[in-house]
Amino acid sequence: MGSDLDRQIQTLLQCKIITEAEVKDLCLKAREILVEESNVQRVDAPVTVCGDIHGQFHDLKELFKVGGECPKTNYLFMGDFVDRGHHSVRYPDRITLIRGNHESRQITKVYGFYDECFQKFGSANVWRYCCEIFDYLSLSAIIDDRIFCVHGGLSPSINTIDQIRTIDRMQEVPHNGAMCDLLWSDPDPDSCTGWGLSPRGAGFLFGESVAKPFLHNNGLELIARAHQLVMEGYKLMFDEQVVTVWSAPNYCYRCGNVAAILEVDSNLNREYTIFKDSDRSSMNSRTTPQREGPPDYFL
Amino acid sequence: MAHRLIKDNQTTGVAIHDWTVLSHKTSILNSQEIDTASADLGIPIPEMIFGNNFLSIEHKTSGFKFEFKALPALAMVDQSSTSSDKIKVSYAREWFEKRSMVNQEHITDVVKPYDWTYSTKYNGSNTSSKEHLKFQPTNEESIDIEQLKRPDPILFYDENILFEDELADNGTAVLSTKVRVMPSCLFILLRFFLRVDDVLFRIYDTRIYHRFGTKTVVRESSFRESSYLDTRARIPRSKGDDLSLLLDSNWVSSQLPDQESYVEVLHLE
Repeated sequence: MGSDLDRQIQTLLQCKIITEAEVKDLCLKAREILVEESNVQRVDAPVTVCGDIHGQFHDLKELFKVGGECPKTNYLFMGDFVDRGHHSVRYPDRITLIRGNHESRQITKVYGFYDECFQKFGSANVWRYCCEIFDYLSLSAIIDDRIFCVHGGLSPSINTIDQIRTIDRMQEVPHNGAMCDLLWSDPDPDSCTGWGLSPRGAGFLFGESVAKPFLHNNGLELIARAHQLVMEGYKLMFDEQVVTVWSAPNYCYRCGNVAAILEVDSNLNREYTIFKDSDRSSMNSRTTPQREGPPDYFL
Repeated sequence: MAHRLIKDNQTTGVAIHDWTVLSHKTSILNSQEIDTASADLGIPIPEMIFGNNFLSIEHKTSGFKFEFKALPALAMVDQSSTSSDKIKVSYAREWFEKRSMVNQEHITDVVKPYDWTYSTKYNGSNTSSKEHLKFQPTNEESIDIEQLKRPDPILFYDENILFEDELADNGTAVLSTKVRVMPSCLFILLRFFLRVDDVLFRIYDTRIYHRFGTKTVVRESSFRESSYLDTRARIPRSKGDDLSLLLDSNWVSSQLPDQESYVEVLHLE
C-alpha cells in the first residue's frame, strides 16, 4: 500500500493524472484518517502554515521548494485547495488540511473544480469522491495551544474553542451557523464595534474588539486565517493578533501578487516567507492568459 | 494606412492615423494603495483590483483623450443608506431568520452600507485637454454594426480586466474592456458583468466607435438585467446540467432583454 501511494505521488509530481479507481481508493483512505480527526486539530510546532492554493499545482511545488520538502517540514493548509487554478485534482501527505469555503459541492460546481474533474476523468465521479472528502475535513487547528488557524474567521456563536469541538461538521457547508462563519467571516479593519453584518445579506465581519477577547479568553496569541487575496502574501491586523496568509502567487495567473507561508518554529517564533509564481505558471500566464483568447470580432 | 504597434513591459497598443490606443496591465493594488483607495472612495475595494490598469485612446490633433480605469468606476458605486438593501444573496432571508434564533439579534448593523455588487454605470473618463470635447446626446449618429461585422484584419486587439470580485462566492462582478483596431475604425467595449447566483444577471455595456477620417466619436451605453432563473431557463436542453454558459458574459449578453440605452456623439474639433 505504501509503495502504491509513493508511486501515485511520483506520478502526480510529474503532473500526470492517476486513474479514477486510484482517486477513489485514495479518497477512501483519506476518509479513514479524517473521520478520526477533531474539529480542532492539535498541531505541534514547528509547522508551516499556508493559505489558499486554489489548484495552482506548480506553485504548490514551488511552495514546497521554499518551505522545505514534505515530510521534513510539517504543513498546515487552511483551506481552498481547489477551484480557479488548472490543477486542483492532486493530493499531498504529512500535512494537516482544514476546510475552506471552496471545499463545497455547490461552490466547486460553479468555480471550476467540477469542470476540471470532468475534463480530466471524463465523468463526475472523481468530483463526487473529493466532495465526500471535503465533508470530513476538519474546521480548524491549534498550534501548541497558542495559534488558532481557521479558513475564514470567528463566529458570534463561538466564544470558546470547546464550542467548535461540538459542531457536527460532516456535512455540506451550511449557509448559516458556526460552521459557516468559521469558513466565511472576514476581519473588518474599520469596525469600531465588535460584529457587523455583511452588506450582502449573509455573513459576519469581526472587529478588533471581538478578536482580542476571543484570544485572551482562550489563552491564544494569534488567529491565522486565509480566505482573502493579499498582494503582499500576508497581512497583519489588530496589533498583529490576526494574520491573513495567502499562498497562491499570481492568483488566477494574472493578479501579479506574491504568496506567503508562515513558518512557526518550536518556540512559536513566527517568520513569513514570500514566494513568487513558479516559472511554469508564469509561462502559462504568458501563453494562456485567463480569458484572453485570440482577437475576436466582438460587438 | 501605416500603423505602428506599441509594446513594452506592461503596455501594448497601436498608433494609427492621428490616434494612439494604449492598454496598460499590471498587478493588483498593494495593501497601501488599497487602504488609500478605500478611504478615498468610502467602500471596501473589490478582491481583485487592477487599479493601475487602463485602456486609453488619444486623438493628437484635437486633444481628445479618453480612458477607462477601475477607481473612477468604483467611485460611482451606490453608497446611499439603502444601497445594500437592493440586492441580497439568494439565502439572505433564511440566513437572517436563523441568525435571530441563536441570540444574535444584537448584531443588526451593516457596518458600511454600499452596493456590494459593485454595479457601476461608469462609461469612461474624459481627460481631454479641451473643455468643449464632450459627448452630447444624439439621434443622428450610431455605431456602424455592419462595418464591425466585416472580417477586416484586426491590427490591434486587447482585453483588460479593471476589477473582479467573486462576491464571497455568490457570483461574479467584473469590469473589463476589449478593444479592436481595424484599418478603417476603432471599437471599444467596456462591460460590467454581474452574476448573483440564483438571483440575477446584469450587464452594463459602453461602446466607443470611431471611423478613421471622420470627425466624430460615437458612444453607446446600455443597461440590461434579468433574473437568474429566467436566464438559466434559456440554456439549451442539450446542455443538460451544464451551467458553464452562465459564466460566459457573451452568452448571457445574447440572452438578456434590451432595456435602457442611449447614444452620444463627440465632435473632434
